[in-house]
Amino acid sequence: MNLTLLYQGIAAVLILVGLAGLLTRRNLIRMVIGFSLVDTGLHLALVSFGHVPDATAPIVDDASMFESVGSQLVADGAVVDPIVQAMVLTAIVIGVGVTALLLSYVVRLYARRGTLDVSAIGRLKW
Amino acid sequence: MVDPVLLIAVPIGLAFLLPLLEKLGRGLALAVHLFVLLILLGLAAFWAWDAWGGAEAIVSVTGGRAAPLGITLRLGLAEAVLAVVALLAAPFALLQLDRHEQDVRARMLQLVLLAGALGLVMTRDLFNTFVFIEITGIATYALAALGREEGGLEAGLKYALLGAVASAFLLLGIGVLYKTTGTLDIDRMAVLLAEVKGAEALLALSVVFVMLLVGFAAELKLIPLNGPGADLYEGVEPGVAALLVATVVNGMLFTFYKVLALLPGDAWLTAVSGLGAVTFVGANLFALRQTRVRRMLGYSSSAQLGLVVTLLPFVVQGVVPLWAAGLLVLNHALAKGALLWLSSAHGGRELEDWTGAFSRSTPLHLALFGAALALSGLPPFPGFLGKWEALVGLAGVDAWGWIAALLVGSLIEFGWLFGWLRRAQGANDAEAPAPAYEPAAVVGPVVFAALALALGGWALHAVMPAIPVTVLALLGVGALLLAARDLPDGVPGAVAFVTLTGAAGWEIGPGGLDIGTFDGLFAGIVLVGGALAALAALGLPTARRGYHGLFVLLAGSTLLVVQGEGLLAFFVGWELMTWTSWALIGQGRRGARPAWIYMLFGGAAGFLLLAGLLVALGAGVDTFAGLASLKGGAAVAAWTLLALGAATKLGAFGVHVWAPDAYTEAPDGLTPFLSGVLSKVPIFALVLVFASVATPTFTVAKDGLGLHWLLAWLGAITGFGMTLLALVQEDAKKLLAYSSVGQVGYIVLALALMTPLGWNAALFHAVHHLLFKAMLFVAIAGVVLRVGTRNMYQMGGLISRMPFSFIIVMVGIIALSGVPPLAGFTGKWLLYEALVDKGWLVLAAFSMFASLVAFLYLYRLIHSVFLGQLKTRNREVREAPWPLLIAQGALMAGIMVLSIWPQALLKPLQPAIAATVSGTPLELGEWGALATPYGHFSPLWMMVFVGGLFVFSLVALFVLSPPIKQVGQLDIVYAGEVPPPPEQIHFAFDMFRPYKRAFGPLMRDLPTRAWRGFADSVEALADLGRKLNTGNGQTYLLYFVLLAVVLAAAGLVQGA
Repeated sequence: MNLTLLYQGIAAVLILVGLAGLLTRRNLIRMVIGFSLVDTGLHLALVSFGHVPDATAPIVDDASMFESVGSQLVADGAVVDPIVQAMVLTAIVIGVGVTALLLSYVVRLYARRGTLDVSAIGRLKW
Repeated sequence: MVDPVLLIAVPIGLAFLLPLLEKLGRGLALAVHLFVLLILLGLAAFWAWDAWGGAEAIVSVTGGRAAPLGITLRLGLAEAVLAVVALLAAPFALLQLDRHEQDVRARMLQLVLLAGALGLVMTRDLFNTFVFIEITGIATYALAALGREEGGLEAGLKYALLGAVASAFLLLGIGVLYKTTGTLDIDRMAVLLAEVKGAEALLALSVVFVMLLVGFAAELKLIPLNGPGADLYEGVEPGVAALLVATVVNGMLFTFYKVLALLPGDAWLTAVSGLGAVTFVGANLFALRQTRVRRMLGYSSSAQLGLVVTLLPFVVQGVVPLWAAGLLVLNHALAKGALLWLSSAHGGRELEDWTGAFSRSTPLHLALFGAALALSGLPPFPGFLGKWEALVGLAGVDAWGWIAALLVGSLIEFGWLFGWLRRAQGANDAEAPAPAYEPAAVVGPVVFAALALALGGWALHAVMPAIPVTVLALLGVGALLLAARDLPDGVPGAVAFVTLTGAAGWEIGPGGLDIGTFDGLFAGIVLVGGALAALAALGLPTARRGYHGLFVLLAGSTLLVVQGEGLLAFFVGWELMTWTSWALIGQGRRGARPAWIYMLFGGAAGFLLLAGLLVALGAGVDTFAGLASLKGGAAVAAWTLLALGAATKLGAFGVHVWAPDAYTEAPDGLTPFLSGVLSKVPIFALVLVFASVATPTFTVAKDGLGLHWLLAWLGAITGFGMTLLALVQEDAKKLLAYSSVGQVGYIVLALALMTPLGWNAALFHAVHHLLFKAMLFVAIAGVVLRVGTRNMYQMGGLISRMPFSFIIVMVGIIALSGVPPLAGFTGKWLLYEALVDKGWLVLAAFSMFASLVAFLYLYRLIHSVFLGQLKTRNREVREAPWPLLIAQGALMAGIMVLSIWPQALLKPLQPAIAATVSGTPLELGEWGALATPYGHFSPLWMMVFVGGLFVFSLVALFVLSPPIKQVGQLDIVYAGEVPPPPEQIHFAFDMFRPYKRAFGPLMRDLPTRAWRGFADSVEALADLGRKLNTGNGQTYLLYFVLLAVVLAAAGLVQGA
C-alpha cells in the first residue's frame, strides 16, 4: 500500500467534500466550514508531496550543517522534504486568518441583516 | 547598499507602529506615515531612474540563503516602475482614506496592502508569491469591512469567499509545481520546466496550469469571475478601490506575467488570451447598460485587466514589447485612480447624478475628462501608445482575431465611457452654488490625470518623428487656453483667432506652404478654415468655457493629420481630432447626445482605419508612400479597411447617421469648420491611400470595374440620398448638414475615378465646398442668432432686415447648385467631363439627376428664410454681427477668385495629379480657360457674360417695373377667425410633401432606423450578459468550479 497515494486520496476527498459544501450549503457558517475542509485537504496534499516512505523528520541539530547536509539528506530520501512542511505551516496560519476573517464577516452580516442565508445577501448585483 | 526588501519591511513595520504613534497624536501618526511613504517613493524613484539608465536589476537574497531555501527579490526597471506607481498613489490614498474613515486601522491596512503589493512585484519565489497574495487579500477584505459604506460588508464577504478558494487553488498549483521541479525559485523553475518530459509530468503541468489560471482569473476579475470584483467596487468607498487599483491590481498582473513566463506550450497561452479577450469585450459590454457609476468603473477595471491579460502571452512570446503592456498598466492605474477619486469627491452614485459634474471646478472638470480619455486609450495619453504598439506587434504575427477583439472591445468601451461623459457635458444648473471640494479630494485626481498626460506626451514624443512647429504651437496654445478656461469672456476667443490667423499667415507666407502638393493643399484648407471659423466664433455667444481652447486643439490636431510624418503621426492626429471635435460638439445646447453618437461612429471609423494601417504596419511599412509595396491580399485588405474608415468618417450613405445631428447641434461657430474642414480629412486620407496603392491591384472584375467603381457608386448614392433627405428638413442648419454630407459624396465619386480629370474635379470641389459651405453655415449662424430659431417656417422675409446675409446665401446656393457663372459650374463641368471620359455614363446620368434635385432644397433655403413676408416678431431683427460678416465676405472673395480664375488652384496642382494618376489630362488654356478633348470653356468670359446679363436685367427691372406695394403681414384680413396653428399653414412648412409622397421610403432615413435597431440589440445583449453576475456569492463559486472543469476538459482534449 502506497501511503503517499493514500494521503493524496484523502486530500482529494477532503477538497471535494469542502467544495461540495461551499456549493450546496446555503448557510454561511457551513460554507466557511466547507472552505476550511478545502484548506485542510490542501495542506494534506502539500505535505504528501514531500512525503518519503520510511524517512524521518527533517531536523538537523546544527544550523551550519543544514545547507551542506540538508539537501543531501532530502535527496537520499533519508528525511521528508522540509520545504513543503514549512509551506504548510505558513499556509495553516494564513488559513486560520482567512477563516477567522470570513467568520467575522458572517457575524457582522448576521448582526446587520439577521440572516445566514447566502442567497439573501445579494443586494449588489448586475 | 540599501536593500529593496525595505520596500516591504518598512510599511509592515510602520503598520504595527502606527497604533502607538496614534496614541501620541493623530497628527504625528499621519505625518510620520506620509513622511515614510515619501521616503520610500524617493527610494523607488531613484531605483527606477537607475534602472532606466541601464543599471542591472538589483537581486536581493533574503535570509542569507540562496534559493530554494532563501527567497530572492528582484528589482529591475519594470518592478521599480510599478513600485513608483504604487507609492505615488499612496500619499493621495492616505489623504482620501483619512478623509473618509479617520480610523487608524484603515491606515494600517493601507500599509499592509502596500507591502503585499510591492512584495508581489518583487518576489521571485512562488510560495512567497502565495503569501503576498494572501496578505493583500486579507488586507483588502478587512478594508472593505471597515468602511462605513453599507455595501462593503456584503461585497467584502463575497470577494473574500471567492478569493479564499482561488488562493487555495493557487497554492495547490504551486505545490504541484514544486513537486515536479523541486524548487520554488521562479528563475530556476523556468530552466527546469523547459526540460520536463514524459506524459505524467506534462499531465501534472496541465493540472497546475488549470489551477493557476482559474486562481488568477479570480484574482484578476476575469469573466466569468468578475462579479465579486464589481460588487466590491460598488460596495466600498471609491477611495478604497483606488487604493487597490494602483497597488494590488498591478502586483497581481505582474505576478501573473511572471508565472506565465514559466509555463511551456502555446496552447495554454491561447487560453489565457482567450479569457482576457472575452473579459475585455464582455466587461465593457456589461458596463454599457450600467447606470451605477461605481459598478461601471468596476466592470471597467475587469475590462482593462482583460486587455492586459490578452496581451501578456504575446509579451511572453516576445511578440508585444513589455513596455507596451506596461504603458497600458500605468495608464490604467493613473486614469482609474483619478476616476475613482473623482467618483469619491463627487459622490454621485447614479449616472443622472453626474449631469454637469464638476462644471464649476476647472481642475476637476479637466481631470475627469482627461482621465476618461486616458482610459479609453486616446492620444496623447499613454494607453494610446500602449495599444498601438501592442496591435502593431499582433499585426506582425497576423493575429487578426485578437486585433479584432481588442478593437471591438475598445469601441464598446467608448460606448459607456462617453455615455458617462455625456452626462458630465450636460448643462448644469447655473443658479446652484458651486460645491466646495476639500483639497484632499482635489489633489489626487488632478495630479494623476496630469501625470497620465505627461507620461503619454513624453512617450509619444519619444517614438514619434518630429511634429511640425505650427502643429506644436497650435496644440500648445490650445492646451493652455483650455487650462485657462476661466479667463473672462472674449479673451480666449481673441487669443484663438490671433493664434489661428497667425498660424495660417505664417504657413502661407514664410512657412512656404505649397498648395501644389496634396498635403499642402489640405493644410491650406485646415488653416484657412480654422482662422475663418475662429473669426466667426468671435461674433457668436460662446457655447461654453473651454470652447476656444478645444477649437485651437482641434485645428492643431487636424493639421497634424495632414502634415505629420508617417502613419503614427497621422493616426495620433486623427484620434486627437476625433475627441476634440467630440468635446466641441458636446458643447452645443443639445449637443451631448449627438456628440456621443458622433464619437461612436468616429471611434469605429478610427478603428477601421487603424486596422487598415495595421495591415501595412504588420508588413513593416510605416509611411503612406510605403503602402505601394503591399501586394495581393494585403493591398486589398489595407485599401478596403482604410476606405471603409474614411467613408464612415465622412458620413457615406448608410453610416451617415451621426452626421446631420452632430452638424446641427454643434455650436454654431463650429459647424462651418466641421462641414468645411473636418469632412475633408477623410478625403485627404483617401487621397493618400489612392495615391499609394496602385489601381490594378484591386480591380476585381474586368473592364476596370472594381473597388473604386463600388466606392464611386457609394459616393454618388451618398450625394443623392442626402439630397433627398435635405429636402424634408424644417431646420435650416440640418438642411445644410445633409447637403454637406451629400457634397462630400460627390468628392468621393470624383476621386474614385482615378483619372486626372476626376482628381481635378475632386480637389477643386474640396476647396470650393469649404468656401461655400462654411460661408452658408456662417450666414445661417447669423440668422439663427438674430431670429432665435432654426426652423425655417418661423423665418421669412429677412431680406429687408439682413440684406448682406441674403446676398451671401444667394451666392452660396448659386455656387452650390453649379450654375454659371460661379465656381460650382466649373466643379460640375469637371466632374461630368471626368465621368464621361471614364465611360461611367450611368453614374454620370445619376449624379446629374441628383444635382437637379439639390435645386429644390436650395430654393427652399433662400425662399423660406429670406423671401416672402417678414414675421411680426422678426421686425426688429438686425444684421448679423460684424465678425460673421467679415468671415462671410472673406469666403465670398475666395469663391469669386475660384469662379473667375480656377487656374489659380488647378495650375499648381497639375504636376502632383499627373504624377499620381494617369489618363486624359486637363488642358489649361489662355485667359484662364479650361479644356478637355470633349469641350472647353473660359470661366472669366462666362463671368463677364452672365454678369452683364444680370446687371442689364436688374437695371431693366428697376426702370420698367411699376411701383410696388409692399404687403405686410398685418395687411392680411382674416374672415372672422384666426387660423391655428400658424406653422401648419405656412408655405414653408413641410414644403415638399408631394415629393415625400412620390419618393416614399427614399425620403425617410432608413439607415438611421436600422442603426437604432442594431443599438437596441447590442443593449439587450449587454443587459443579458451582465445578469451573469447574479449577486449570489455561491453562484460566483460555482462559476469558479465550472471554469476549472471547462479548462481541464479543454486541456484534456488538447492533450489527446
